Amino acid sequence: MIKPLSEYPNSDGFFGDYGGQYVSEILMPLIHELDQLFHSEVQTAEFQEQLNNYYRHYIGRPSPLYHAKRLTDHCGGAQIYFKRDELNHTGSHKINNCIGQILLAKKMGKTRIISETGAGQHGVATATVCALFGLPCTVYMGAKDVERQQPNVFRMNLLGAEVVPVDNGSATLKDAMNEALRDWVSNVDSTYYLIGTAAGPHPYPKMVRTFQSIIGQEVREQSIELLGQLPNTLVACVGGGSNAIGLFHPFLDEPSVELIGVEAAGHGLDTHEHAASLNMGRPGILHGNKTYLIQNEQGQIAHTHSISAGLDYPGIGPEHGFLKDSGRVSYATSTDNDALDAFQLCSKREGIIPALEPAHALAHVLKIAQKKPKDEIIVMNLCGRGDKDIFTVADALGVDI
Amino acid sequence: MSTLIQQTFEALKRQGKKAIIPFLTADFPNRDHFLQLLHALPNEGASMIEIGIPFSDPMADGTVIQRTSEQAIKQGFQLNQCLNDVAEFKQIHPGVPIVLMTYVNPLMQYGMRSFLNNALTAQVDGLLMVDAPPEHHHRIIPDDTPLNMIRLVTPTTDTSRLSVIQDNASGFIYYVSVKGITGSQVPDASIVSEHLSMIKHNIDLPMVIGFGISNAAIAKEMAMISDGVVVGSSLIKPYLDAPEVDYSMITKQQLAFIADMHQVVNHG
Repeated sequence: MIKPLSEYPNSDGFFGDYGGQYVSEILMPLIHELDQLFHSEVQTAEFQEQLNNYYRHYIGRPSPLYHAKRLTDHCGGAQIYFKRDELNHTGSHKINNCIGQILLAKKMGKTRIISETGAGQHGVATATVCALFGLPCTVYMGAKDVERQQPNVFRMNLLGAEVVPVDNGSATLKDAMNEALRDWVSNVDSTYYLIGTAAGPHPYPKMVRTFQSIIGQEVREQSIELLGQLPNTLVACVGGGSNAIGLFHPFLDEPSVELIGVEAAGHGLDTHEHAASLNMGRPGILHGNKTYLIQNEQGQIAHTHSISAGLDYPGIGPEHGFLKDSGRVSYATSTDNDALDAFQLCSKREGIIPALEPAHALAHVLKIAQKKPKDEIIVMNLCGRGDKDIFTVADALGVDI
Repeated sequence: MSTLIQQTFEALKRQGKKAIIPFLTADFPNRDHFLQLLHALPNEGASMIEIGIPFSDPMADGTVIQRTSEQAIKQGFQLNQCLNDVAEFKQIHPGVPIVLMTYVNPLMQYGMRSFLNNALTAQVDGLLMVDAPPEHHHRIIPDDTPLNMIRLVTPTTDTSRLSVIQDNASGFIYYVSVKGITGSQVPDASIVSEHLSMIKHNIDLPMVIGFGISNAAIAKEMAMISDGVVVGSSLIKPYLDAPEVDYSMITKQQLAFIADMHQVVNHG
């Protein structure tokens, strides 16, 4: 019998050859402890009840499944639905995972939270749960991202978090993650590292997936209730891949449902300025896991580019590498310009300003919807709202605000 | 058959001395001065040398190693050339062990099998991969290798992990003196000493202390409770913000720094 895809990783955290715990010895005892706690705690009725309570009354779940009729008409093909995770408290899917992890951090008796952020959405979500649980919070953020995501920096400060700009390397998400890891090894007794994407050493990829799978579970229930069937196609953007794995995971063992992740092609895959790890990278080891990485022949990690800070990362969650190799999920790309067009179209035709990250997914949805019959259903995860991006978009469009 | 690293520790023990192990980032501050340092260090009392193969994202290291690595990569660091440098060094200093320290990815992209073969040909003695936990040893190292596998033990390592660490460890144990990154805090001798005696109880290998060894006095304190010390960040830091014209002066100064450390540790 072949093991169902949904049952990975194994107990060592491997999705096939991807994943694992490639970290310095200093962190090994701690991640073993976290692994044990996560697996024992997450199954208890008490934990589930607490989690569901926050999902419902704090985040505002379930998020709606919305029929984007005007965009559907615009494309003239398959029915386009949005999973409205941008309506969550804090404006993105990131909070789903933060609530779950901070409950574990509390259980471990940790007194300080650190995290990394790209677009700032995970930083805001982390700062939010830290305010809620009364824990001090330090967020590492690439200096370049601090610059392009000022509203979120201010938001984090308002929530009581300290934002530390990181100047090393490319001054983006990967460097913020390096710095967070350095902080963690230096403060390992007191500190919990709340990782925002489905990457890093085991158990993080599995843990983040577990807390984000509420997205796919709700889509499943909502589709059956509203449409009387499962969707034909699911689409989500992938940077590190947390919203995508959250949407896909409950459908991995449903072969009739097509799964598509959309990576950031930046200025184009033929340039070196993109962040499409699965399409253009090769397997390697970074940030505690084996996964696809954008790197040079010497194994040095490359600088990436995307207009979306949240997708501007040279790696990808290890499970996506595994799902790509298995052929279960296909990974398309959208460029900066594709995303900008979709961003504007969605704003004008649906009255929804999407974040630049899901605008990449939407650009791909717009392409495939017109080629699919009208009785097919595409569900796209609208994983974040675009208020944070208005300065970046204005700048790209040459508008001074 | 005992390895050169073992023989070196045995000889030091017979003489009642401790190993002084300088760490150099390969090709830093440039090829010329890297090679000058490498070749001169044995004469200043270095009993073996660690060479850092630069990686763009050294997560377990502090600012100094991050910046020296970035500079070496920017200047066109090549792993093949580094192995040639080791081979040439060994022609002149056949008795001085060389340990390569790095992260898994640069070696994996080179091809682990080819790397291990070429490293052996170049007479590399030991290998330390910071992000290679002993649990994943067989995934990372496909076949048995005669290279010594240097393992880290840290203040967070508890007794339950020592058996898995010992499984594939050889040469020596690199004890990380502080909960932190390279070039950070000053280690506390009493805490280190207590933990080391617990480890020695379980692992029968020489213990070398690294992280935070920033001057001769700390080196002596740490050497008294171990078999040697690694000095890294403080050795290469002075080049970082210096103009190139000062490199020769700094090289002299840093060789004297190691000579002094050797003097204080082994003759003081």
